Amino acid sequence: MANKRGRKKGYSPYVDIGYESLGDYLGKKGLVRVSRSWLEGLGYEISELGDILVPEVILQEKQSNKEDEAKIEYKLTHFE
Amino acid sequence: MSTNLHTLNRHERYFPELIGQIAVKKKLSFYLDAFEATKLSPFLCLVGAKGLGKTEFAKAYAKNLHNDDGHGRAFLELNCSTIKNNEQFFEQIFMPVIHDNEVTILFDEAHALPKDLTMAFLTIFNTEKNHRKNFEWDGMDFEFDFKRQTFIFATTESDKIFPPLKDRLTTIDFEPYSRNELAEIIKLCTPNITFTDEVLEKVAKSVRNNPRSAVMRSKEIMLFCASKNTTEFTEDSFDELSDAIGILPYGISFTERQILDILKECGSCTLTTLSAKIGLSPSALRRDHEMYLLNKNLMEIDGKRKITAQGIKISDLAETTRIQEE
Repeated sequence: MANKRGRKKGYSPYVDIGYESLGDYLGKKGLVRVSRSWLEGLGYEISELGDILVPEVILQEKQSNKEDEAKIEYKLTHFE
Repeated sequence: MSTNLHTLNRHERYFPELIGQIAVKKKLSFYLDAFEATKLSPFLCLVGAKGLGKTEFAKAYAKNLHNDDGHGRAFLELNCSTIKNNEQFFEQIFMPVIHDNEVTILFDEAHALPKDLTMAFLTIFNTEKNHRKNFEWDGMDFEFDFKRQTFIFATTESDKIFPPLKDRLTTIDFEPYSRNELAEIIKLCTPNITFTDEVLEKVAKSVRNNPRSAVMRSKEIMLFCASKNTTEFTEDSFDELSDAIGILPYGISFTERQILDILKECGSCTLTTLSAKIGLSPSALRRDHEMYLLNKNLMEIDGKRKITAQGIKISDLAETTRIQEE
């Protein structure tokens, strides 16, 4: 009987992992290799030099989140 | 003898408006003298129960620090529980207020510092001979100059401060106030009111061990005297005020009176039973009420909660107050 070769039925090279769990491992600034077309599908632009331009809508959201972020409570006293 | 007098004069000179805490005053005076000579202060960590005056002492310490031009150094009070991360701290506080300025910074509730800022402080406060420290974060360089910036931390829960950070700080421990010191605080906060010694002692006995409580009681006395258009606070005045705002013996709260009543009635009971009878969570009972009753020796815990002889006395006294109220 010949040996069966190749991948088993139902095998996939991809697995699902929650973004939060992956983020815990990689952190906010971890580098992740993704497909160029997938990124472009999200609205990112990639220049000829390989620079990634973040879509305006994400920049705006980031700015508004920053403004909403709670302010640190402080009191400054000047003594005479 | 002359040395003792010199020491006394020195710490009284630095902290003329603060009562008690002689050991704290002496230690801080030592660092203030050192600051006058070196322009450097250790990274202090004031540790003590709530209401003992940590913030007041930090402020008084800061008031004695002077800039190079002789002017008083600005004092920045931060509540650590409102700091979320490094980014927020460096953007909202460091760059606009600390950087390149002469300022004393108090990190109040230091046990609530976020993890990343705690880690940053491990590097920043790891100083040896140099009074400057550069800290790189997120591609930027932040300069700390400890001759221009003085750092003080304050907390009620020193066990929650990350130990390596605690190792870099000089701890100043606060001690409890005596009844005489509390009476002195009440007198200081009611400058135009006259008391007999007996009344003052009675009032001091009714506050909850700390200056904050004494200051609050003073405000109530001032309001009472203003409403009665008098400057004399007598024993009758105290009884009338106690009746009006519900001051119980030893300054216990109504919940604490209820705990004593239940223990007197049941003999002893578990925390769960107490919690069920009073309607407060076990942790709230333990943290907010039992600690004070234990401190005042009004109850004891020996497996179960029990009332002490002193507790029975106070419960009876509170009962008399309640009958009078009715």
